[in-house]
Amino acid sequence: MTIAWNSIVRKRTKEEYSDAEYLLGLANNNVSIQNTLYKNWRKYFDDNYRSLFFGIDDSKTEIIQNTYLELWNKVRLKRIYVIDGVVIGSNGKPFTAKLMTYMMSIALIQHKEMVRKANEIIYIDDLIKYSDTINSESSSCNAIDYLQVESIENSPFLDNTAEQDMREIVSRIISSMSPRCNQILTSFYYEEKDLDTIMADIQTFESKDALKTSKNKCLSRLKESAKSEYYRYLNS
Amino acid sequence: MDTETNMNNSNQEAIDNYLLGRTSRQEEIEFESKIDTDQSCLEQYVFTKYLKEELTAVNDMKAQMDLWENETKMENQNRWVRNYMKWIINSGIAAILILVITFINPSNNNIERYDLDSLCNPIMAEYGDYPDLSTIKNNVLDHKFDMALDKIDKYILQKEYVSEGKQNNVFADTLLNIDLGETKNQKNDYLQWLKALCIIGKGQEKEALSILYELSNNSILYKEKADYLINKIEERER
Repeated sequence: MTIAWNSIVRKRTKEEYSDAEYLLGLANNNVSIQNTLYKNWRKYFDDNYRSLFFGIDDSKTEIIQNTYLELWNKVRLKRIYVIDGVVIGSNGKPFTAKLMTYMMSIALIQHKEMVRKANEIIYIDDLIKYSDTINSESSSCNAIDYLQVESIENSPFLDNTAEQDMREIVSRIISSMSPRCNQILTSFYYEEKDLDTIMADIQTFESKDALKTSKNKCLSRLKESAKSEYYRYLNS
Repeated sequence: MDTETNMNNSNQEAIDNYLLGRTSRQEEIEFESKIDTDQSCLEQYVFTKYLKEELTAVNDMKAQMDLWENETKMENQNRWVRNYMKWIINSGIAAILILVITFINPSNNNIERYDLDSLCNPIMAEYGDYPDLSTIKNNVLDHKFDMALDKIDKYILQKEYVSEGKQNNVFADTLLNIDLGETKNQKNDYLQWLKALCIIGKGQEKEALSILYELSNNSILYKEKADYLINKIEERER
């Protein structure tokens, strides 16, 4: 049985909540509790990051926000939930750590991931160049398609039981996609701009077809990344 | 592969139009029947749907976080300004207090120039102090000038000194062989003298001069003391 929400939404002299209340606030989309959690997390990170991170002053806000997003995703997709006032983790067992400590561990992973992605971007850029070379030689495949090996029937996107996992993975790869793909896909799917408007905004595309191709390449790359991550998750 | 790529692009366009609500009812029906039969198109549709929904959720949350971030910055800025203002105000108040204590507080200057202990003693002290006026004298010595003035005024108004003087200073009067009327004058002069000290203590030396002149002209006992203070005050005036 979950905690009655009425008992949570009450006036307080100090804006402090228990870990369970914070997570219920996230799950129930309570903006006031979310705001408090974000600010407390930010302060906690500011107070403690120097002993754990080095040289992250430029990316501090990014790490704070990505960590918060990661926690929000886990709660939203019910990886972490509250039963009878007890916080239950993704392994189905009660949390042993404090929420802020847990968020700090996510931040550490986020930071490692950022460093890894920074190297990966170089790799993917190389791959794109390679792909473009092959395309320019009128080859019958491109490098991204070449990575696709599983049959369509086994696609995790068609497996209803994998929906939560795939949503979580898609959400995570969105946060780490390249700035160019982020700009194109956000403009197209979030801001719902048409291709002509996006072309006018970005101004580096010579034609609408080039923009469309770029967008589809981003989609293709993200889909393959999501699948790879899913298989890695299954094998871990 | 070109044909396949074109087909994929065409599928993607149909998926996008469907998800973004840019289709007619007929196109919608056609698209829904296509994803029922085409697994590849369905997979691409599901992926694009997840992507769009997650992009929307993540960007909404990012916008919210940016708002909180700005709020935090504003709060920090306001806190800094508040602390700075508080510091300035506190420093200002402290500076004003120091100025007041050092230069303005009247009880802290004039009277300290004189030997208050000896000035407060009545001329006739060697024959016995006036016990009923000792509280007034103590008030003057404690720099409680307003309180002392208040008591002096009340004393004079009630004219108690007349009857009390008869009872309390019989010994002094007998010794000096002075009639009761003269005793009354001595106490009256002493009260006037204390009053002058109180007024000087309050920093109103000029106002005290009139009482001192009065004592100098009319009181044999306090003439010398009054002249001493008149000279001091007039020297300072010059």
